[in-house]
Amino acid sequence: MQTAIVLTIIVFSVGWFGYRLYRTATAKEGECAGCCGCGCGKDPLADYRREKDRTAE
Amino acid sequence: MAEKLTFALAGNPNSGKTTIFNNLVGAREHVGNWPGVTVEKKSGTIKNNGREIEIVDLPGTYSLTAFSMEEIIARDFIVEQKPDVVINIVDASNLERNLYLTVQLRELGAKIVVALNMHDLAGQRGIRIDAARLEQLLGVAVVPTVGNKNKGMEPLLQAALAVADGRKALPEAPIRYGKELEDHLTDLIVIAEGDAELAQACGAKWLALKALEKDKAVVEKLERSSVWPKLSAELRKVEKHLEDIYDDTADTIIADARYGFIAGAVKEAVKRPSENRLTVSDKIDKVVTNRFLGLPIFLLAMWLTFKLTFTVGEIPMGWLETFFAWLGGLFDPMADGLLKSLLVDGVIGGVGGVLGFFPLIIMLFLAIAFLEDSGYMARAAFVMDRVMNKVGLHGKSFIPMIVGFGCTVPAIYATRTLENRKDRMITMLVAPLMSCGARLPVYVLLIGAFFATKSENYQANLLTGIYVLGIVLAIVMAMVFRKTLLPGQGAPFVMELPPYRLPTFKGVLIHTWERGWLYLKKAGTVILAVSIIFWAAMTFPGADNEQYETLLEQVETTYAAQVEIDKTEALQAEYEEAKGALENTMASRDLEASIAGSVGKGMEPFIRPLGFDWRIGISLLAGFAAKEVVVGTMGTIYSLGGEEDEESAPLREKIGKDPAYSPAMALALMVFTLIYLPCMVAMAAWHKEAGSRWKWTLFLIAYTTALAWVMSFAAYHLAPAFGIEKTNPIAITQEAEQPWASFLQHPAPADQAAPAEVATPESYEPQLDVPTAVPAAEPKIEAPIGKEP
Repeated sequence: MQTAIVLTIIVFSVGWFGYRLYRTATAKEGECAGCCGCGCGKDPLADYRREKDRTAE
Repeated sequence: MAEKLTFALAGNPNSGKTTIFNNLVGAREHVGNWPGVTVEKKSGTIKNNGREIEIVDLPGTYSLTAFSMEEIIARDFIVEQKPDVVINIVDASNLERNLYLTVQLRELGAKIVVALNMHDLAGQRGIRIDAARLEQLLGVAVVPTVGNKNKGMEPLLQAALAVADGRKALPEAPIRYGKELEDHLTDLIVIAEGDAELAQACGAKWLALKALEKDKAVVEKLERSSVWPKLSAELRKVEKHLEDIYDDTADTIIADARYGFIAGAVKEAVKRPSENRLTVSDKIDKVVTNRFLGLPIFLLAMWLTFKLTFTVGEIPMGWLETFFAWLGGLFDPMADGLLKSLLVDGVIGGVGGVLGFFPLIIMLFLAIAFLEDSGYMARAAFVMDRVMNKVGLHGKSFIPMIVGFGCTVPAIYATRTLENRKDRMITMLVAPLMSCGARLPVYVLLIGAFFATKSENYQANLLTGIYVLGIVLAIVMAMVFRKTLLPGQGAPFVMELPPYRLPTFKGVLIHTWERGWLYLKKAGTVILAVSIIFWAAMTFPGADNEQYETLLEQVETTYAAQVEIDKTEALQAEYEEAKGALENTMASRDLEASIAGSVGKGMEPFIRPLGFDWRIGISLLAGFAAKEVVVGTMGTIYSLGGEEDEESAPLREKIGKDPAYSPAMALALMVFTLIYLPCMVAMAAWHKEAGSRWKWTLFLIAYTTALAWVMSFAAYHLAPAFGIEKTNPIAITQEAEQPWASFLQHPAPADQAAPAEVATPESYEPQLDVPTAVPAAEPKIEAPIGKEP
């Protein structure tokens, strides 16, 4: 059981890291450049702005 | 009324554009008090009376020619996207130069609202601006603002809405280029209008002006147009005529006409104090940018930054180290196994090792934010600009390099401010040599481990030295590249010196937190993932420890038998020592036989001359994912193979006591970490910005690795000359005998037959099929990690 959990975590980590590298390498201009390491490709302040917009409304 | 509007913010670098953007949108974009902070355009959306307004922050530009990347980005956006209004931020204390862009925006036919920013500063200098008069003269709406105090934002927004809706009546105020030029322009406009599509997209007058200025991008567009043959013939005629009359080129005449227009408007609307007062900024600048004092003051500022980082950051760092040790201890009751090892050695050892440095990072960012916001960083760039020019490099090159102190990725993007391809490539090649924030934990770990006995001043000197080495190497390498691979001449550049401002408490805190948050985010994402991956690489496949497991069983059986007749504490201690040593030996064997261990061993011949062993090799390899991971991996290595009784000790202490390492090695490792190839994300950014040309990317990898090796080799071997030892003065030396061997020599109780498990040296030898209790065939693996000779 322990081995299964550990293997799942390792596979997930490798997969996530690979995906992140792919996103960083293929990020378009203006997208998140992955400075923080997330490589999500999203505007890092999007959530904050959405919240601000909602408040303004 | 349009439901959705787009307002673009345009202005000179350091005119306060990003601050106004933040005020309007409520975002917290990074605001730096030196030119060139905004390279990419940023956008945010606000709602006003049910209308959605997108506000786009364009890169700072002095003009709308097509010489640099930011000018092209800003111009293309205005021409192609046609924002409803361009909010032109101008520095009210430096009106003449800022209005040059305003005039060019007007030429583009954009609807403009001028924000007279830093209006208060102009007032303090005795400059009185009649905004209403200026509005009439320029033919654009003018609103006084004070961005850093969030003043004038609502009037600015309302003025922009009024202009967008056509509710604001403004005079025509045409720009005159002189009779000769005006006549020619009329002819050129008629020809340009022959291409209706192009004329509609860009404006025929603007096309004619740009064609006369020989604007590369516009001429390329026109060359593809059907009107080009006729237009080019007319252009040649006009150019010749103008040169005959004025003895000057068309672009100079146009620029003169613009400045003339501005000078006239300013003369009418602005009143200045009669005497030429020396402002406080001027007085400070006389000292900090002094030819002789400038550089020492810059070094002193750096030194004070690091001293503050060490002195104040050290205290909470100790708390965090204690916290992570306590956190690891919480897992003690958990049964030994893979999951426990993953959590304690991989996650807490790796991520905890990196997070322990969070207070130091915060202190460093706090100091840098203060220097940036106050305006000092621009002076530092000014001082270094002289040096850069001397080595034939563009003065603008130092701005990306200063950005590189925070992170290499934005530094690489910041090279876009350099219009010349060769200048840009040289700057990109040397920018990674500036020590980014991620490398700081490595330096602090090593300084804390090997130079802890030295004074705080010595430690700050060392850290400053590493940063200065990065700058010096960047300058030297730039000179080498300029003279060899990318010859050329550095273009002159006017380095702006913005007035000093007292940073706001909130502003400094926001900048510090933004960077600190990124550090935490990185620790929780990439560093966590890499720590887990490297833990796996350091755990599997593991060594064949059957012999040692049998020995362990024998130690336990011997203890169980002995404790019946000897209940002293001495026996208990002897037993724990023997058991611990066996467990550590097995852990060391596992680590050495792992995938990462094998790779590290493979690297060892190359790094041994630098004083590094295979464990450092693994850490440096992991550091390619992110530089902080060097520390995280060392944490995992020591946690996996560390001594039981030292598990709770901070990583600094464990490394500091390791006889395999020395202060000279620490110095070499700091130098190597400074120079060797940047992290994966920076490499990806670098590759993209270098035009995805593998030739250059491979060159970067090769030259940084080679330079790192040579410099570290020199550091390691020259260190003793500076009183830095090649041996570890505080190392715990390896014990000569293995404690389990002596423990197993306890005689079997007389009243019972010696069972097979209760080993004596004579009895267990054949059972184990090893020559002695201390396997002579593999002497090295007997030493637990941290005690290897």
